[in-house]
Amino acid sequence: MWTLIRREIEDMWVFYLVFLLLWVAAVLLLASAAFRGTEEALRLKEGVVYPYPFLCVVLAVLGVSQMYFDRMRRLSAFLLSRGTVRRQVFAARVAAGLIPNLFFTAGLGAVSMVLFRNFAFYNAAFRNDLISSLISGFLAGTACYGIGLAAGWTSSRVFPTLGTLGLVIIVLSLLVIKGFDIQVQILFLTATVSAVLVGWESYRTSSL
Amino acid sequence: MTRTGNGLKIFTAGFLVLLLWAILLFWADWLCRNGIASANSRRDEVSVVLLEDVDRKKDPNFFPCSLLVSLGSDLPANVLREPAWTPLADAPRSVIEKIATGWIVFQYDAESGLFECQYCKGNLRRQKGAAYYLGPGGISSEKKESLGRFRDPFVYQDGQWGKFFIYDRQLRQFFRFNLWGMGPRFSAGPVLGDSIEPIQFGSLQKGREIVVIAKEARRWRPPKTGQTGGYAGQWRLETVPSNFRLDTAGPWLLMLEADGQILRLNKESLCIEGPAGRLPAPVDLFGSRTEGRPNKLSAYRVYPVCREENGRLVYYGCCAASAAPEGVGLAVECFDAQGQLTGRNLFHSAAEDSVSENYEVELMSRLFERGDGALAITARFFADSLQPAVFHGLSFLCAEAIEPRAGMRALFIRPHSFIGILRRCRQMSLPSQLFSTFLMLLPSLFVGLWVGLCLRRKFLSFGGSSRAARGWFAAGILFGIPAWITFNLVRPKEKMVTCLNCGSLRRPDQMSCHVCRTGWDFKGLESPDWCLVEPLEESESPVGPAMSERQTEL
Repeated sequence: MWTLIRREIEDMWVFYLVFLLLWVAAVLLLASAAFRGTEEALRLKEGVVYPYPFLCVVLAVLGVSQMYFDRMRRLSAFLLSRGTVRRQVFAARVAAGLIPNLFFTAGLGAVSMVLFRNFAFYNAAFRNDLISSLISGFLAGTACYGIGLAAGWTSSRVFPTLGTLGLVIIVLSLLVIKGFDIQVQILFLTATVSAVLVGWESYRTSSL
Repeated sequence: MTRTGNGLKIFTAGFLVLLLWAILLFWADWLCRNGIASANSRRDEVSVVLLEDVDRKKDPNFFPCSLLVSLGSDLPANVLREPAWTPLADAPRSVIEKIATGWIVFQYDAESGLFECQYCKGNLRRQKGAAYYLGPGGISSEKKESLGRFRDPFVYQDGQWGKFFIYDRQLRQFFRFNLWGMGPRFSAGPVLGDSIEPIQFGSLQKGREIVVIAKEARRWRPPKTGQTGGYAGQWRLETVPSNFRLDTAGPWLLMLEADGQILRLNKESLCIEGPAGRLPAPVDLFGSRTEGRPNKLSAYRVYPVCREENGRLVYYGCCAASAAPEGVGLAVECFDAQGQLTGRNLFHSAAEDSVSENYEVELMSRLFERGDGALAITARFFADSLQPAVFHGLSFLCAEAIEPRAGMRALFIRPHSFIGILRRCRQMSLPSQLFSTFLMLLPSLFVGLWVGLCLRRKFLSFGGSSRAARGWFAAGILFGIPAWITFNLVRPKEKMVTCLNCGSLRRPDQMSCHVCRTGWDFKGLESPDWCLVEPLEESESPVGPAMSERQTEL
């Protein structure tokens, strides 16, 4: 399993580099806002939330790329001939997609907590607000990744690119409609589960 | 594909499609709604004569003090800065204020049941311990049992920092803390009777991004006061006079009850002195008057009006504005110091220079007549008809139960759809509501029926069972276009082949043709082993010698 995950990461190393750059940019944004001496926790919260739309788009493209290139290059057919099963291949793929999102969120959360404590007003309300924003951002990322997985298993070139981008914009607009509360988290979670299951069923039932 | 796997795929894909479809329809509805609202806000149509000084009426330079009320967008410009869709239940429990030398933090600690007041010199980075602890029993610099516990409090800061009013819903008492001046002072009001149920006090508002009252009017025409002539034809740049204040009620504190009544609370004795007015009841999209209750309105705002006279504030009355549940209709009323309706809440028509007492109805009717308003309403109905019929039914059932502001961001069950608005019409009886709902539901039902029939026919052509085809038919009726999209996502992708027996298209992954039930071992058409006509002579055979040989073998 670890070998499969490592293989996925090595195949898509460009995306992981983008994730790293995005994370560094987000931290620099946060730190600059903090070191400028702003008293507004809100500014820091903006620094926490604003990177997520970019992260969601990159995650969706990652999901599409994983599935699309698998189908085009017949990677799964090769892997299945090496003693693996489809379930393992798909699980490794999902894990390789969740790892950057998880690390991004955890890292951003830790940095923002430190900055909140030291450079801005910090109390329980702000902490809860920050945590709910991070959870919503994480789940939005997983939902977009799942949509990428579901949309990527096709031989068409137009839908995985333009269609996925449109779907990501629609899904992200949920944050504008509902904010960052528990409702949007439930919707994102349900959308993630649905999209991953759709992707799995498409992958499982296709001839390689 | 296994049966379970297929069901799972249909269910998950269906939910995903439904969610995306609901988001798209939400934005379509939002665009249409704001088309209506912006038509109102652009024109600055609702203006109110707030009060008129009788003594100065003869002064030729005098003009009535006026406020401008309009509907804005129901979506905040910045979701992060404006806590979007703030529900009424979020009564404030903390006040954070920046002053010249630092910050004041006044917040409730649920564990101890006390309010903590902190002063952070310079900035908020380093919070010190609380300077004061405030409980229903008094003020202290230390936590004490004698301070008691607040149970369900909410706080209002009056004017300058250091003056806080607290109301506890469970203790049913008002408290006043004054930390400014000669040391901290505390006083508690009497326990309120059961008939009084304050839900807000001090600043009475909900959904501030919807109802906007412009204190400093832009270039606009002042409202007429009933007499002919007046300001007709003039355009003047006016502002509220500087000695008027719209942020305080002077010696009173305005208090809102659950039924929409506005009461006056004496700031000193913390006793209720009398009525100050009530929230007006706006009309909805169909011209029906809604309830003027806080939990039935999408937005409201109450402005107390005071004037500084000889160094003290004199309360003149208040102006209350409220928006209909769906955020389109707007009503404004003004009350004098005794809470009596002033009768000067005139709707001023910029187009016709006419004055109408029935201003809400006129506003709505003119919105319908306007080109953009009519277009927006038509487009909204069109978008509404694309909503699945099952959600229309649920919207009808739940329209009254959902809080208007929560309904504004609803995706699936939408109480502000046309059917939901119809359900809230109190002037209509239930049978007429049902009949009107059925009429409004017809487009959705037609769309659903058409989708259902298409799905059933297409599913049968793919070799599906008749039972599953009935399921798709029902899904088409209930969910409409999302069901059609889902079907196209999950339908069998195998290329159909021609059946050797019946000639129709059949699935390659099924054992037998779904039309004629012929298996794959069928070799092709064979001639029957019987014949209706007499065997012909060999020379007269119409099919040639090969057929004749076969007939001979038979």
